[in-house]
Amino acid sequence: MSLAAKKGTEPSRGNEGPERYRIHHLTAYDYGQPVTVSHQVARLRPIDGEGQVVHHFELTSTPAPSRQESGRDYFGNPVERFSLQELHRRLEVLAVSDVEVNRPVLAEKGMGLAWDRLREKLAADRQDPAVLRAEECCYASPLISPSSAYADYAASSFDPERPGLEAVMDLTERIHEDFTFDPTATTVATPVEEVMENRRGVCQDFAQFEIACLRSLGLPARYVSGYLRTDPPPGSPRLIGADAMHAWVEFYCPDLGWVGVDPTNRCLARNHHVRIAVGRDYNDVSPLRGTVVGGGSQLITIAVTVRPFLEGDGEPMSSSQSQSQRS
Amino acid sequence: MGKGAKKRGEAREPAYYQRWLGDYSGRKSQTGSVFDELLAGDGQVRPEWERFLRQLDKLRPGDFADRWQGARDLIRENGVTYNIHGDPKGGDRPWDLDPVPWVISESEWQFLSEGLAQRANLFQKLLADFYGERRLVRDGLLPPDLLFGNDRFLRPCADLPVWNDRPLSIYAADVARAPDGRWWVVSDRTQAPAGIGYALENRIVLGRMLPEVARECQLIRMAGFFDQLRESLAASSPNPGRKPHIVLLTPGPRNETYFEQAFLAGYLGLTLAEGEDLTVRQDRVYLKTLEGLEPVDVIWRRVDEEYGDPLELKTDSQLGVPGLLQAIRAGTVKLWNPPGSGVTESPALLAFLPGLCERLLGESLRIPSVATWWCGQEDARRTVLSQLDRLVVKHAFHKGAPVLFGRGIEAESREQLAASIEANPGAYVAQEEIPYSVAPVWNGQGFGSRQVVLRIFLVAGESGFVAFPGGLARVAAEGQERPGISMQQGSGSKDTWVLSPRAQTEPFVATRQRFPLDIRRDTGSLPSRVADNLFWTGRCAERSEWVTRLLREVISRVGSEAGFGALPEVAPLWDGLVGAGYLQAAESDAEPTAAGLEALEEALVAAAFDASDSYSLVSLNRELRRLGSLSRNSLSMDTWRVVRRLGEWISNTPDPQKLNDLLPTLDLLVNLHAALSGLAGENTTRNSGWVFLDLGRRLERASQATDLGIRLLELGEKERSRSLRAMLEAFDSAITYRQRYFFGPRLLPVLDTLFFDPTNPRSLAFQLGCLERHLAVIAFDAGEDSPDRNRRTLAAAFEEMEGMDLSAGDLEEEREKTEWTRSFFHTLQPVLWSFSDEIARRYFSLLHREGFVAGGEVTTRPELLHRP
Repeated sequence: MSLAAKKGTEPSRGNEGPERYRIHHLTAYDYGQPVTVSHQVARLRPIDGEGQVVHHFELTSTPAPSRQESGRDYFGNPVERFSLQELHRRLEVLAVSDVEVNRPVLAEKGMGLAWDRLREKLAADRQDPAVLRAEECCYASPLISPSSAYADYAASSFDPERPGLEAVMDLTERIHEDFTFDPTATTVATPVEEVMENRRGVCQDFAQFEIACLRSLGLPARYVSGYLRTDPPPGSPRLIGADAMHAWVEFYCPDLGWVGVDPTNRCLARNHHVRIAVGRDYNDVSPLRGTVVGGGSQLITIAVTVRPFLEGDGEPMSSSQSQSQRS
Repeated sequence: MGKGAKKRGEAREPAYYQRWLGDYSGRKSQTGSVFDELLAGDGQVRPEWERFLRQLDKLRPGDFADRWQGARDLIRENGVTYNIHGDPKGGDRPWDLDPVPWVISESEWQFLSEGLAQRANLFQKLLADFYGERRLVRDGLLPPDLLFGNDRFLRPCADLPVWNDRPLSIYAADVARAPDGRWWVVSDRTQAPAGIGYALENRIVLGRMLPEVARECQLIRMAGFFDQLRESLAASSPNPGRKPHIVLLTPGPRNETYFEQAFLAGYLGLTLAEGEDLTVRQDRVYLKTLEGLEPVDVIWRRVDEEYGDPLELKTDSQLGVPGLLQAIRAGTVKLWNPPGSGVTESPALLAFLPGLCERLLGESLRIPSVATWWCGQEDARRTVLSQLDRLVVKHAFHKGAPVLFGRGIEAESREQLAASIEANPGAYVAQEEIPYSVAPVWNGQGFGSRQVVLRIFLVAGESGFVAFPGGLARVAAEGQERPGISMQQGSGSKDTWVLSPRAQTEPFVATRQRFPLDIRRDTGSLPSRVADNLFWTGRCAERSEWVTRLLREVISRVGSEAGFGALPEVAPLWDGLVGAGYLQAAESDAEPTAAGLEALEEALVAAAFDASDSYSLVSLNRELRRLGSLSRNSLSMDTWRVVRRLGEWISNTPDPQKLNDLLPTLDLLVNLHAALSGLAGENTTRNSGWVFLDLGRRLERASQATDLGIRLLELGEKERSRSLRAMLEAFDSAITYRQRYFFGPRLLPVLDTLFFDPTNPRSLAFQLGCLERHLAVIAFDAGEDSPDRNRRTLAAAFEEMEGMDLSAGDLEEEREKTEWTRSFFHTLQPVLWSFSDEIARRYFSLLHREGFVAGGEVTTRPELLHRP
């Protein structure tokens, strides 16, 4: 079964061309009490490479940080760590990315090794650090504990000898059918077990559920956080996940590498998905986390805009422009 | 020695045998075969034990038991405790020590310390591989589950620049002896090993109990080891060119081994800090002190690794330091040991150590680990399931998880266990159950025997790992077959004696001479939290003393033949107690009914004894003990003993039958308070810690005095003069008054003695003078040169009092001066009240906690301290 055959799922066409995006991601904290010291860790810079080229990235914090360092985390994601010592009641963190996405069309490579021979193949090729990285994603992680319940759900998609990607796409399709998108049903902290029981949630829940299914079968799967292109093609429904961060799943197949599948939108992740960070679950990729001294109660505002790159976007952004993007 | 050998040749039983070993059963009592530490197979006492016993036998009859009693008193007095989680008895459990050391020969010790040093080196290399290239997994020497399925593998720590640079600074192993006499490692501690402080305390206690025995046996001393430890800590500072500031990071007083952490910090001269005492600025760790932020160079971490940094590790941790990992990345601070080093403690790793040792060190493992099968491998799993009856099953990675003994298990439970293993094999290991050796323990008359296991500590020095000569031996609890590896399981402890063939004159490692040798008079900067605690300790101590004195004075009057008819004589005292809530009764001018008299008596008893009333004397004293325990590190042992006795007094006093029975108890308490203030005055260095302690005391005394003064002056003229005697007593100033005046108490002379005389240490003027001087000291310490508002106000008040002459020529003048004093007190009182808040704002403001923010929630820690 091919996802591309489904009607109305515009991004899953196999013939997407390269896309270039301008992305604004603003996070603002309004504190009830002044904050004297703040440490922040941001995973907001798109991944450079693997089908993405980052032409420009800028992270600005207001007030300005007293120290800022860039690095990579264990999973290879770009990380910005910064701290503030200036007294403040509002913190704004604005990430502006100019990124081009051009991932290969998978159809040319086939549907991958049979899923039930995959784990063996990984073990055999463990000398390759990339394979070892994939093997790591077969194990339990802080938010996802594999169990036979997930394996039972997944079973009907995984007939013996079935090519891995085909089976995973079928599973993705089924999750999309069986689960209802409902932002009121879950929070960031809702356990996957509960998501399975209620069959409701948002992209994070669906992604973690699918990962749980795959790992329960011993297959390597990881969590991706990023953005989704939001402008709907004429006559097609608007994609869910617009103007917010999005999450989907990557599945590793030795002959295909990491392949992105999006259970929220039952599609492959290609050029409409911009990857920010990968990890074992949400815990590894949270976009902005921090500690503050003082602060009291706080209000968080998050505004994300993803739009096609336009002529003139090459100019440096002024702050008024960035404000206007916040709607 | 020669004589002893000869004697042994002549008779099987040496002279000491009957006295000490009459009841000793050793291996005879054991069902299976175990190794007997004391007796060899032929029933002969082993040579090192013979050396020990010959010296022990020189004690006079009964001496051992007497000295042991003294030693136990010392343990109790020193407050050596171990906190048990969920213990209904309040958690503080006295340390359980057995007075018979575990005696080990030097050659055996050599073997153990070398074998464990090899192991420590192996773990260094394992950590470098795990957090680096992971070649061991890639090359198939280690199943990937041991890393990737192991939640002790802390990925945020992988990029710390420590793993290739000898990450382990301190390591401990539990070793036990199998029936064939061979040593086995039971478990490894690479994360934050506990117990070294208890081992030191055990040695101090036994060294005091059996000094001549230890000397004559040529016991290897430990002092040199601790010099080495201190030097290693200092040498590991990543910031050469400055005197290293070393901090012991503790989870705080609720942690089960808090005693030893505080004890070690004191013994080694380290700053004992909780997570909230530290802060990271510009990728550097700082201690929040009164003088501001002071850089920290080395952290001996006793907070569990995953709690170390809420920013990058466990986000709900309230024990860590946000930004710590980034400071380690920046290379500005050295951690003993770095977070992430616990991964090598996993029991599953034991199954693979021999192969890993061959590969990484090119030699075979010198001390074997207890036989371990990791069930994630099929062969191992089959082996385990086929002989579950004789194995011990544990979690593959979690040390604290429950341990199941296959022996004696019922068929049904065995099947359940087998099913759990089959369902998730990678999460289980099974180990051979080795019967630990038995060693002598004191049973009150002579030696009995129990199973023992030994924890040995090693510290990285310049030329490799150095072992603490001895260690912390654990003894099976009564009725228990084997000692628990963790103290949580209730086992006792022993000192461990390594006997040398050479006389021990010098510490075993000579301290290297280091210059320049700078003389210091400061005691290091004071963490704000400690200053805060000392301030409140001072206030609480004074408040308790004040209430004790007032109660004593009231009871001695109304308990006399006059009964409650004497109430007007103590009116201001009574009303002071009632007004502040220390006494649940009506004010003194209410007419008590006949039935009400009994109620008054009850109220007075309750004011002292009622533990359910948070304002009673017993509650105040408990609060004092609690506050004191928070600043244990800054209090001398003698001071702590007094604080402890004050806090525990109620449990040792029978409920009084009549009011007068209370008086001896209150007298004793007044004496204890006198001891406490004497120790503070005469035995405490005048550093900023003392200033805050005394500041608290003076502020409290000034407030209480002012309150009493106002109550006195608000009374009518007649009531006033009736209560002057009691006022003099309450201020302990009756003698002074009598020496100065040949007439009975009159208002103005009494006011002068109790409030205006700056030479009377209990007077209000005296307190104001002290407060003003203290403020000058701490303002100077804080780098301020202009006197603040409080200081000016106090100085002015002091001056006003000094300038006031209360002599009166006539009744009119007496009235005027009384009125002046009354209004002066009314002005002063709110100043004193606000003063405490201002001190908190100015000096303790750095104590604000850092809360974690993510997903819209701020975790702010609850205030730990309830202020009296």
